[in-house]
Amino acid sequence: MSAMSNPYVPYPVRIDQITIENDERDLKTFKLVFVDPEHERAFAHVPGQFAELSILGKGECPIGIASSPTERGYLLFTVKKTGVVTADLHNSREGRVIGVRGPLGKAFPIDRLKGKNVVIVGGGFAFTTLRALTQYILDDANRAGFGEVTVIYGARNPGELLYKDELAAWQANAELETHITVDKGDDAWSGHEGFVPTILGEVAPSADNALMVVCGPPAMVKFTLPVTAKLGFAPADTILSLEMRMKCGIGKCGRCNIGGRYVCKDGPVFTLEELSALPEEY
Amino acid sequence: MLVLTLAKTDLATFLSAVAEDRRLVGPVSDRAGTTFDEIADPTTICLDYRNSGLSPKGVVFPQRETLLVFDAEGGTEHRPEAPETVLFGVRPCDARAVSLLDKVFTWEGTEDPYYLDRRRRTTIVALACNEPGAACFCTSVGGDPADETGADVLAVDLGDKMLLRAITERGEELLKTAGVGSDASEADIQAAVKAADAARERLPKTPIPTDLDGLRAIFEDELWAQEAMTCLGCGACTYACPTCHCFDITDEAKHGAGERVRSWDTCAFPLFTLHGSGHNPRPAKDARVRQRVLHKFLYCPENFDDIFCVGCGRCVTHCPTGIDIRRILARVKQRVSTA
Amino acid sequence: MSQIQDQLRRRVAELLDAKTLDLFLGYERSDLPLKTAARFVRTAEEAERLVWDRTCTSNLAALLPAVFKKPEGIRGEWTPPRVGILVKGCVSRSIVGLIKAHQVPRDGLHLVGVGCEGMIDRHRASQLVGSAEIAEAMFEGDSVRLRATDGTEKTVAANELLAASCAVCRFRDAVLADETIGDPAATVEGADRYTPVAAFEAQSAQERWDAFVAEVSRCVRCYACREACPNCYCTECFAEETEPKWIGVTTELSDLMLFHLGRAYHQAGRCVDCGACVAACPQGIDLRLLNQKINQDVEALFGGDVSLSLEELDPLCRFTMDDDQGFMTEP
Repeated sequence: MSAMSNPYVPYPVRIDQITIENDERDLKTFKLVFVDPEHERAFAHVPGQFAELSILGKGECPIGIASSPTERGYLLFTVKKTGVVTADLHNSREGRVIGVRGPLGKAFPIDRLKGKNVVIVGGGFAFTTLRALTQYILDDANRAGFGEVTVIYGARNPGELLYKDELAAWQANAELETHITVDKGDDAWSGHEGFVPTILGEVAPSADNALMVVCGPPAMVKFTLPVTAKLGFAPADTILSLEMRMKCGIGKCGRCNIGGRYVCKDGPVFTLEELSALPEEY
Repeated sequence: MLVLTLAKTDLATFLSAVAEDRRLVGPVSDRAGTTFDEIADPTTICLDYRNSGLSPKGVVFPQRETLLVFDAEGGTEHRPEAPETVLFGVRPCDARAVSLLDKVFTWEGTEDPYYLDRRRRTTIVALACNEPGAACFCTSVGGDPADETGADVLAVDLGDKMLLRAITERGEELLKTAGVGSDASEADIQAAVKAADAARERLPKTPIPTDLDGLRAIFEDELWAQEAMTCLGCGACTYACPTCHCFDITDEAKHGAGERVRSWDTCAFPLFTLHGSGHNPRPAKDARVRQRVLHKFLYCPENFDDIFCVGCGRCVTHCPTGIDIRRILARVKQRVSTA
Repeated sequence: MSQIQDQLRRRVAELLDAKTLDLFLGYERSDLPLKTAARFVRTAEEAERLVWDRTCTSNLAALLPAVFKKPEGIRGEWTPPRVGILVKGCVSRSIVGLIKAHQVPRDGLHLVGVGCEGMIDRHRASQLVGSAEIAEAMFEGDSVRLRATDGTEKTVAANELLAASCAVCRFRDAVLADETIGDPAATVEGADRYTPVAAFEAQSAQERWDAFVAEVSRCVRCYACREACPNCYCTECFAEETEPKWIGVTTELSDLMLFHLGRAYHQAGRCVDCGACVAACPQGIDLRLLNQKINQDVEALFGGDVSLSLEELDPLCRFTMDDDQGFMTEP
């Protein structure tokens, strides 16, 4: 099976580990290992890209890659149980072989981020590719190439926060400034309590020599953008990731078409400036 | 390049020779008019037609196509050898449409292997139009009744004989292998030119909006909602259209074994853009009618420098509620100029 | 006809000018011969575009439910427009069905009834001119003169070109109307509408299977039949459901069969045989055969015709103790 010459053919991957991320148990992180190491070499993704997770007999779903390419030997995908494919995935056991097709889409503009301060703002389970980006920047081989790194991440409540172990590690890591917030805390919570846009406003990172990366549910993004603008981040320096219904993932089937762009191929990463040039239908 | 004439009485011989080691697909009479089908008996070919009901795009982009075959053990790509095919007697608008589909399926270096498997083994013999159909408007969108774009051979009906002009090497190969016909005379060539002139003369010019900035500016115009009121939201226009190419990918399986297939889809269906979360970027008909028109007349020109409409008129013929894209375009053009 | 057309235009202009109505849904001339387009008019001036003749094929009722749906992005209260609609018999029956199914409101709709002589089937007309195309069709009394693109002309009685459903139609006047234009249509007696069903059933099982396969194999899943049908107003059709997945979305033969069989069954007790599905199908599939069989069964089991009155419940919406229960004891 020539997975590499035929963009519709997925690479086989084994589910090595399944981590339940939230109390409702509808968010799981899957650690996938390539059955053929050659495929991992070919895969070589960049943070911000996504892949189509394939379950033969059920279908595919486009999921952001949550692991950085610097994390060798596996890929991480955090998936919410929503429909036919994700439900089947959630019913999987470790050891099961599924498929991954990718990497797809435009990544975060790493070259533009180099030498700059990076502000990463995420909400809910849209934080996945931001984890990839953060881990990438923090990697020993890369860290020196970036300026100050600020991460602001929020969820509805403490149970909904993804990657809790990593978040704790980041908070203990002097290489970056981490602000974790929840809309509503519980008795055990001692961190920020407030919406992400509010916390962003309080942290008020400087826009000087900085770029802003925002990923979150539409409501969060809607209220965050005025804050980033107020802080002085230009639309060309505000980077977002869009979600859209997709099928082929390679700009052929038309499903994710907005204006002259295809979210799968020209995105999902867009600057605010690019998005403003698109018709408003997303 | 070779230019031959062939007596109509020799056509069946020609087609038989062509079909000897190739699959011959051409127009045949059908209860719904004319349709493109595999032809076993060349005498059944029906070249005296305006245009077919559905376009012949199914030859390179079938309604249903298997991508992968799988069972409990895993899956493999399904790429049986595509048959060497001659698509004979398509109208120049349809041949042109195939050249537009070529652009999509090779866009930015990402090649669609399934499409290309078929495409690379298809030779297209276009049949020039001596008489436009009632809904035709090819010349308004850059086409022509004797357009050569996308064709390997251009055939012209001269009454008792056909003129066959090779356009590509592949077309010339085809004409040579058939071994029938004689070199066209100057008179024949002139007759073909005259026929094309006459057809071109009869084609109405319909206003087409080409100002891309203007089209972008009327995105929120109320005209879309008004035009959409009589749209049923079916897929007749898009499925009949030779340039429409949206598709769905679904897994069809039983007890863990089956196929991953692609099938035609359309932006006209509400489910097309429906997210898993329930959010729909194009929730109502006005957005979908707008998408159909702007995709063809704005987004594709942006991406491919080509309008993705060849003026075949099938959408006009087939729309159950009589929506006429020419009327919409005239209205759009008027709005663009007054915006 | 043209008298009725003039009356219609004047009346609609009146209704719109007086602001009794916001919209009127009728037919207008299309640029293609023998075809009309559905058309919403808003002003007296636009009312001049309305036509009424024997090419007014589509069932306008299919366009109504969307008019009464609150548009996206509108907050708070929304008042739907007051809509008038030109109704021939089948259209009025479809509206009766839609009102009973709560898909359109009774008040808010103004039905203008008109007697219908039956509509021309464009495909039948096309067959008369062979490989040429019809350039122009002129109605002259009860005849229609077809001028083909090759210059030839053919005159034929309009009734010889009737759509199959129109040829056997027994409800040519509106069964529900707020007002009427013109005189009642002439009734049609004696047309046995189930003859094709009987003819089909007379064939052997193999012949019927082969015919059914040949018929549905033409389908490309464009759903024109479904969308043209006023009764298909489901926001998610069984054919597209994924949880559970009843059928596939492709042209796999079993999917095609189940789609058409399923849709026909879902029409049971509701189909008024308007023929919109057949007219809409770009592939000329005879969808009516399935629907007619089911209509025949419904009639035999439960008696009467459907969608004739707002007060009566239609067969599959009601239960009486003397309903046929043979299916339990003699399946």
